[in-house]
Amino acid sequence: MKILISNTSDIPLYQQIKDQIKDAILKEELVEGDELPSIRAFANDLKVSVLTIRRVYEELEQEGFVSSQVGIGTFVSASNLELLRDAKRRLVEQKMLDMIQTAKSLKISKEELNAMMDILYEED
Amino acid sequence: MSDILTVDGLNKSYGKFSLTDVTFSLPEGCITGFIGINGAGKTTTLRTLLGLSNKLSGNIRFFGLDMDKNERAIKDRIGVVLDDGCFYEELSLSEMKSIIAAAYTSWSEKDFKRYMDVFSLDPKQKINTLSKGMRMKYALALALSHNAELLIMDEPTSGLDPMIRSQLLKTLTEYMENDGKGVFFSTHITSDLDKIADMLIMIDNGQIVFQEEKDTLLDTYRIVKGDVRSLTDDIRRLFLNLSETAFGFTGITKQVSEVRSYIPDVIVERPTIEDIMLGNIGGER
Amino acid sequence: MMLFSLIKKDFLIAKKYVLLMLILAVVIPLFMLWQLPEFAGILGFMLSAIFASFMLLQYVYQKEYQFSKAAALLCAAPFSRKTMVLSKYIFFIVIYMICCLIFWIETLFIYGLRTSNLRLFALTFLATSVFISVYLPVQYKLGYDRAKFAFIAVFMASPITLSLLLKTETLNLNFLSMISPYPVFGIVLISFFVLAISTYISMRIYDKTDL
Repeated sequence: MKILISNTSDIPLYQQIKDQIKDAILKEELVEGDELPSIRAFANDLKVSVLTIRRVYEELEQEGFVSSQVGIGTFVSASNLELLRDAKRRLVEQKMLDMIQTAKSLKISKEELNAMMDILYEED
Repeated sequence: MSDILTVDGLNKSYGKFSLTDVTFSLPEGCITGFIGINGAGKTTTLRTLLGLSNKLSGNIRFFGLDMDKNERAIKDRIGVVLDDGCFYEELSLSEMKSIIAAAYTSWSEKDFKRYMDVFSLDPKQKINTLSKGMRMKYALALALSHNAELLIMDEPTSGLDPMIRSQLLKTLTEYMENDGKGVFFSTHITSDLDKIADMLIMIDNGQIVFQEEKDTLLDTYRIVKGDVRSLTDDIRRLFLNLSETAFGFTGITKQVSEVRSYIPDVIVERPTIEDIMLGNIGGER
Repeated sequence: MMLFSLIKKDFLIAKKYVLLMLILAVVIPLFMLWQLPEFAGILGFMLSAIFASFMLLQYVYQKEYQFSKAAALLCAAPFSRKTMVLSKYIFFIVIYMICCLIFWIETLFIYGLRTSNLRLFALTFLATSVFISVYLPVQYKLGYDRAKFAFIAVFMASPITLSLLLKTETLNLNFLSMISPYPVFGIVLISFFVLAISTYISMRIYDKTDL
């Protein structure tokens, strides 16, 4: 699993880490049952606070991506496929929102954007 | 997550200086940095916590126990590193150790020997022949050899070279790998130790300025640089502190999006702990 | 255990002077034997005991003052302040007992020093205890620096005045037998009582001190 933290980004650290773990689950780099590193070890490796990692794990657990067992560890639990698909869609939505914002700031109209999208989608 | 230490409404006067209503708590499993400039009240706070000087009022609880009633039991579970010179200088390392060791119910000679080896200290050496760095390591060996659950350090890094700082860092990281431990250290220089801190508490002029998770702090504050001509008084108010030159301004703010909405073409950077510390006391960057 | 460790600490920090004290305890009675043979036993012991305990305590406090932060480290460890104070009193008693032992051994070899040991030991203990009982609380209250001058002045004067008084005679050395119709046991008990009160006062003072 690759996790890169950007110090110039405006996105909070915990959000960056959480998003990248989710990405890894969605891309199936992490699969059901995989163990995530311990909070302390993960924090040391990423050079962030244990509190940040703790928060990431807690939120991931709330959202159903992982389950933690006291004293054993935190495991990926991507059993809920619906949730996963939903999450994938949300991931794309997120990127789209970014795109639309950029387009708006550059005064590119909705039609133009759609056209660009069509071309790029076919090309790929 | 339970708190390993809670301090509530601590007051203390010390000559002209006073601590006013100092309140904070240390969560378990965290390294907490206690930051502030020289004379901000860090050492006084630590000494008062440890009962080395008397408090005027306030409640101090370690591990959920009241310090006033369980002083001995609590101190048995704490390791302490005070700023140097806290030894009988003319004794040898092993003589000083034998005095300190007798005070703890769960002193581990094995742990102590291991630290002495790791730090390559000679037990027969006299304390007054130790360098500043070795003295610090010795103090750490003494503090960590009785299965302490909380390690309290007063300015551990001041005046140490990078090699020893990184060794200290490594020792602390190892120590924290065990569950239920905590570290609380004070510092006025933002060094590598800040990098391993999880929580930061800032004190200035005897009062707590903030207690915040380090990453949250780094996420909320931003350094903003831009053209002086676009500054207005309304915008200036958004900054904790601001320096202006003919070429541009540099300021630290918690409201970066507001600033951006006024002046879109600013450069935004993440601050360091030092920037945040100085921003909160109006110092120059 | 903790108390023992603190007393050991006092001996460790005063290491060099412990030897000097032992020598003094041996030499003073001999010196008296040469100077004032008729009172050598009584005076010799009294002076050596008082000198030794005072000097050693004074030296220990000098070291405590020199490394004043070390007390903070001890206090940050589970040593209680009360134990720290108590250890100084016990330290004194230990030194006194060592002096007694040394003097007793000397009397076995030197006939001129021979005197009623037990009663002398008890009475000197009372005198020294009273002195220490004033000395230690003052030490805790004023701190080493300010307490030093007062005590050194008093002390330097005492043997001189004492021997002057004795040389110009008139002082009846039978005062020992006069004030001591009490049993030895009672005298020791009074001494301990005085020390106990002093210990309590010192503890009260030290508890309020900022280390």
